[in-house]
Amino acid sequence: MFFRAPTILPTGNIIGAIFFGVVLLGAWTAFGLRIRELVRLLRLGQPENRLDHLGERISFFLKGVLGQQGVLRNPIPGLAHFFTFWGFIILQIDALNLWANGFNFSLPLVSSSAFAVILDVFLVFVTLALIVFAYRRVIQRPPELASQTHDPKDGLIILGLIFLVVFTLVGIEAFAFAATGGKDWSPLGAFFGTPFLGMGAAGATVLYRAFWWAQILTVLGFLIYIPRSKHLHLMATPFNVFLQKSEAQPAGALPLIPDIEGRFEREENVGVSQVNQFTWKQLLDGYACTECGRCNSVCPALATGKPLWPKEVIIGVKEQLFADGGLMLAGQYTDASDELKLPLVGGRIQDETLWSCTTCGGCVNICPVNIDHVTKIVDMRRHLVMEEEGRFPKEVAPLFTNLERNNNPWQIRNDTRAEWAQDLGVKLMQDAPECEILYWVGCMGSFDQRNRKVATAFVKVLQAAHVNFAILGPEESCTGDPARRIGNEYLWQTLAQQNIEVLNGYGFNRRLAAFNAEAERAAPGTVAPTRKRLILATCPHCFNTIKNEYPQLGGEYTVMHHTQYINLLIETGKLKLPEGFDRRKMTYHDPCYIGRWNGIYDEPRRVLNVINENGVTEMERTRNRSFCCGGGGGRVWMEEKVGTRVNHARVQEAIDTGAETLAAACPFCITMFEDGITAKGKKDDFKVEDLAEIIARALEEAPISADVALAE
Amino acid sequence: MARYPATLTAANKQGYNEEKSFRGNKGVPRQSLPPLLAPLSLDLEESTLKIVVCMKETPSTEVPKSLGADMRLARNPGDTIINPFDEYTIEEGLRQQEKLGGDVVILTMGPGATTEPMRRALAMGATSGVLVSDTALAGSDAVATGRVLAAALKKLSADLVLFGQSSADAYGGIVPAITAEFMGVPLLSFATKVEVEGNAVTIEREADVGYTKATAPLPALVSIAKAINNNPRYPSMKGIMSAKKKPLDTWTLADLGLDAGTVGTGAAKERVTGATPVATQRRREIITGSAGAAQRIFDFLVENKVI
Repeated sequence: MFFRAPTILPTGNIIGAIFFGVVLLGAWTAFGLRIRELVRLLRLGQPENRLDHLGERISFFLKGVLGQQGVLRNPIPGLAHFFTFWGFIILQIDALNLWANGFNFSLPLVSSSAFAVILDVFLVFVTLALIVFAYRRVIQRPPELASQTHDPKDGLIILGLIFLVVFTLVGIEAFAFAATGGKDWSPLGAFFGTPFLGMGAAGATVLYRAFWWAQILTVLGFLIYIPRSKHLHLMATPFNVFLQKSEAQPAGALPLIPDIEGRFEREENVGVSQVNQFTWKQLLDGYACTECGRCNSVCPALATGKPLWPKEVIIGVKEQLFADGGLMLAGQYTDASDELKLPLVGGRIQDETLWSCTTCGGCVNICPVNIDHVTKIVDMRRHLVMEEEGRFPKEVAPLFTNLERNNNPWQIRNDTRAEWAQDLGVKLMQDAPECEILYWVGCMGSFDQRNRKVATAFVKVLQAAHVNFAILGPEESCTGDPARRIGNEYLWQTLAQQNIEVLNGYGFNRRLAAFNAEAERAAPGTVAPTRKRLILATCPHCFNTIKNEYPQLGGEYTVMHHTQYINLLIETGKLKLPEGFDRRKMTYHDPCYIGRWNGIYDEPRRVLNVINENGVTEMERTRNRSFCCGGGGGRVWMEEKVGTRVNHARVQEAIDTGAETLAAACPFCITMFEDGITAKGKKDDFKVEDLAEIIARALEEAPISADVALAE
Repeated sequence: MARYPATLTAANKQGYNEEKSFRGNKGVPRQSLPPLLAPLSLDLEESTLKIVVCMKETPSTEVPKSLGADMRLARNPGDTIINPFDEYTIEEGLRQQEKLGGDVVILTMGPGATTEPMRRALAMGATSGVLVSDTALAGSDAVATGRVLAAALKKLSADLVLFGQSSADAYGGIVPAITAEFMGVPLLSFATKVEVEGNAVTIEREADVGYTKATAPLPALVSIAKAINNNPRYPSMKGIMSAKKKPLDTWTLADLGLDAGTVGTGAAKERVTGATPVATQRRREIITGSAGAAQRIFDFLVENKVI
């Protein structure tokens, strides 16, 4: 028979089986009701399509869920989690068999000795993992595991329950072995059951049944408890990993708010002040959060004493969903007027928390379950900036006004934008509209004294490689990045549209090129050929916004950061560098907006490895773990009054490498670091240089390449 | 409803008082319990304070400035902003309104006044706007401007009139005084703090040492000093959207009952007769060659008392 009866019927008789059936049904009903409630709460959120690119999503699932890629980045707890996860799966399969046993049948394969071996191996690993987890929670207590909202006991309860599951399973195996006189064999059962062989079948059967019931009740208790605890992540995470941003939604792009004016006319929200204004996926993030606190451990704001705990933002949104969402479902929710109710923004999540974020993306990058913290923070900032009256740091108002009036962050007339390049022989796009390469200088490169030197250096590099390029000069405006990240989506759209019009006018839009190619195919000879055009940016913020965010408004451009382009020039042999020319000990800081948000880590290093004899001396936190300079997310325009300074922390880390030069690739990083170095009194013996400056100097001092280094 | 005395002298007699603390005719504090049946008051206008902020459009800081053929600043109607000094004034008006209630009306005058700066002022939170726009106004001097503004302010029944300390394009700084004279109401100038209590307004004005306190009964004019530095608010999206629907009236000279002959170039008592660019002449000395150069640099620094 396919489903053969178990050797011992754990429920004893038909009445026991019926009773077990009732218990099972009751537990599953309690579970189902909770899941139904959780799904209804999620559906309060706004629509968002996360079912595109299914192939890619399956790979997310295989790597992230089955492969446990996310947690494994932190090796010891990661490995412990890996075995707990797979142990859990195996245990569940075994639990199904135990339930079947209660109704006097067994599942094939699962009842085999081979499966028993696999199960027991995992039981051992899970036990070891439990020891690791308990050590971390009770003795080691890393700060990131703490939470202001949730009692850390929750974690211990779960550990206790898992231990009970393991313990009762071993008990079942041992007494099954003893009661059947060794017929029901399993490695652990034989090990622990042998001493009980002498107690007689009847006594062992009674104990077997006791352990069986204990096992069943623990697992069912788990089933009821999980969706009400932080271990909800167990159910939500697989979905969250599967539903993460696909390639079509670049990491560096914030979501667009279409038709802002229309939304205002219709009295719809443009930012988030109520929990149901998040999308369902943003709400699912809360369910998926395991409260592991990796986000807290990497947050530059938290590390320097700002009131921002990324984990608490995620838990806060989830708690708000449970509080307000429940009322919304019951039709009892009234907005803000209720004084007693804790508002989401300014209540559960403080304004100061939102303003502390540098949008460096450290939290998003490290999260093992693909939670997006930054988007939520910006959505709430959008509420403060666009829907409230001036609920933002006061330094921001002049920034917005200047961006509106002068198209740059300062009170400087934008028609002086090309002044820095006057004596460099740089063409303006309006004088050379056929030029195929545009150098997008950005406001810092155009106006900031320090960063003008970077722009000048990059121009010299381009000229040395005989690149035919032009700049926009007065036609260029701020890309809008600071406005968008501070929450002024309206201003960002205004500036972006302005720039897109200018860029389209010079034929840079890929979409336009495709359109023209199509028209040319339809009627050959009527459309002027559109060339491949390229935009180069020295500012990672400009780079990210043009590359990843302008497509939201129809502007699709090929954009390269200057570190990528210099690398390309070297690789294609257009730029000859004196190898190993630079002998200074050098470290490199990964800017957030080319590193984490765009994955550019290798190109700048490759360039530095060619030019520098010693290569790059890495800082402790490097590549995707790089620690923000403190200037992102519009923070560079705000005062930093709370805690210590982010830039000081990073500068110290750079100095600690023993390097004499810090290579940077972002104007804001350079500004922040130079401030930090001056404050530390290290101005004379520690320098910040942009990659372009390092290359330009090498070209100047050793114009004819390779041999120089070899000769010495 | 504001009632204006006939002349400034009369206004002074009414209780305009400078240099010492003065309590306005706020009335005697109520000692007894209010009557059980309060007299029914329908005089709603009396209870609504009308704050009028006089705002000038000035050329945008973004646009390079140039002179026209008449040697006056060439104005491009598309590129104007709120006179930066007036931003502080609007902010002050809005803060007073938040404290006292009532309305904030923005008043702008010009031959071809545009609506952009006005909309921004409304987006900041003002209640409504009035543009006095008439081609006859072209070339008006400060006196004519004061005449027109006074007429408009009277028509508006302004209780408290706020001016910026001057305009960022002409820097005349006398229009508030001229307007006050035409209206026959007191002017408290260069305020760094404004307090309205009952029917009087008290200001503080920065002095060399400490500050001067001045009080005048309403209606009154107050000019706001830049030193008030009150962080003019950035209009929220909500403000920008609602500004599109706020009432914005355009008045002509006829609406104000003014004769076109009293304003414009023809009536101007002040004329621009010439304009020359500022010649910045730097005293400089170029030292060439190495022989004795160091000595010369040293001597130069000593001569100029640098070292």
